[in-house]
Amino acid sequence: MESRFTQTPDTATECSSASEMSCSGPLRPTFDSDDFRDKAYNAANPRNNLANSDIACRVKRNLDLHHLWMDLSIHRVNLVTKESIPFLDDGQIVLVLGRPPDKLYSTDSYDEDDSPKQEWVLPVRTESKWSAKRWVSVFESLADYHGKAPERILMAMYTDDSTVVYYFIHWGLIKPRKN
Amino acid sequence: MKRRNLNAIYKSPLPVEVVALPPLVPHNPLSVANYVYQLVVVPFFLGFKSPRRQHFTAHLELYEDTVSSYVSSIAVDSYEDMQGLWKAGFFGKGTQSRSEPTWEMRTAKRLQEASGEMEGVAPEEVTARRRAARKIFKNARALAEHGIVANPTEMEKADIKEAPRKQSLLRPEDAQLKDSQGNVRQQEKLQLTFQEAFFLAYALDVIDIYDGRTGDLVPVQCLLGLLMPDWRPDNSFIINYVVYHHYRSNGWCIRSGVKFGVDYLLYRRGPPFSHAEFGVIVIPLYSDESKNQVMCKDWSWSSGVNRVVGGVKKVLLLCYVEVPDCIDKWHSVEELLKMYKVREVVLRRWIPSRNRD
Repeated sequence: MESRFTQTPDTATECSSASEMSCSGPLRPTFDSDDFRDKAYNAANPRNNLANSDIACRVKRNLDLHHLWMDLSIHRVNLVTKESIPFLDDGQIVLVLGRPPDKLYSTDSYDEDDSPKQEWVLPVRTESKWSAKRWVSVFESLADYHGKAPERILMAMYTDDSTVVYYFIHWGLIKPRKN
Repeated sequence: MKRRNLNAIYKSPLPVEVVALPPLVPHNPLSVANYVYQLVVVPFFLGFKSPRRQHFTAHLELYEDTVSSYVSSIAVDSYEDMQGLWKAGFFGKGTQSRSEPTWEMRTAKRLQEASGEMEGVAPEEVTARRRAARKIFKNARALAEHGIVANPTEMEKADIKEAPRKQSLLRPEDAQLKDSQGNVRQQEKLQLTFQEAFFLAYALDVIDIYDGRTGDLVPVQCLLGLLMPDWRPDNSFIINYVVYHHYRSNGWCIRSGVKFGVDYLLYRRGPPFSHAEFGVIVIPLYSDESKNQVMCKDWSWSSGVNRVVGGVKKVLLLCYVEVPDCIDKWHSVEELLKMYKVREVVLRRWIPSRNRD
């Protein structure tokens, strides 16, 4: 997990650059480990085929198996603004669309066929930093992609022990609800 | 429902075996023989064959960038290892469960819709029942507020075990979960955080971590280099690992605190026994005071965190980790860890009119 106090790389100390350090201990791995990682993981790596985002797949799996959501699908949405969002693939963000087993808010309404409404889920890492501008760009891109912007999205934060924490991001103010 | 005997299920706080030897009486040959057996014969001749000694295997998938969309993870696949790691110290988290890996059991129950035999009640089921009961209460309250007085006998008779909205728990997607014999295929793994995995591999030496891509065993010395994102002395892995190691060695069960907005939660014995006592926030301290000033948080931050943590009946613990200037010169992991120092500060709100002790 990322420490919230860690400095950003551009203000790092002198001993930060891996290539500059002298390797004095026999137990320190040599920097073959970088090549090891590159070779092992980039060779024929499906990452280069940007059809699937790992985070989105994990969140979708969590929704499917743990929370029993239905009709799940992954969507790659083009970003309409120039806002830089973490782990962007070619100016696209990856979102998950699904239907929860029951309505998420007590004040929600059901669809025409008495099933809960579909929800948009934005999969992110807990380490990434989000701002209001970025959320706005997600809503606007969804409006462009889907025709109509949703009233709310669910932000699914994937942590390193596989806990996924879900938060609502509403467009505009909502009335506070009774606990 | 028969109460589980927690002390019998969760016997050991860590996956290591401790043998308590009775006092040695030199003139008693039986006592001497017992000592010789326990100290020499068991470790050297029977140790690796002893059924009591536990050893686990895990797979590591590592990707370079920590903020990329590809997630590095260390996971344990086999059912016995998952149960063993959970029962001996509450390590890891089931990827499709709240904490204990119960997905297969819950799904089998759900798909067969059999409520006859209760082989065990998962914590998720206990939570689901409690939430369903609360939903019924909220509906009744909402009706009462609108002036509709509900018939009290009807409310009492409401079956609390059922969800308020009548629906089947089966979905079309569930057909894929079963294999050809109609059994549920295991879709869950036990995911370990980097700190947990390194503790098990380095401090306890009870786990073998294999590279997910090549299948090679990753030795402990290389593991540290792979898990650290970079070689800065305040890199996220090493600071969190120092704190993790510190509390584990002092007998606490330490787990992720993301649900309460803190870094770690400290349990006295473990999640099934009681709720966490402390919420830990890890703060690095540098020898360079100007850096500490930059990192300084103001009173509103500490007040907010204290409020959140107090609201869930835990105590806020600020864990300061003194970070060395440079981590170049070390020859063993022990030396590296000794460069870091840990200090704790407990922050509790004190109200003069209320707290008189």
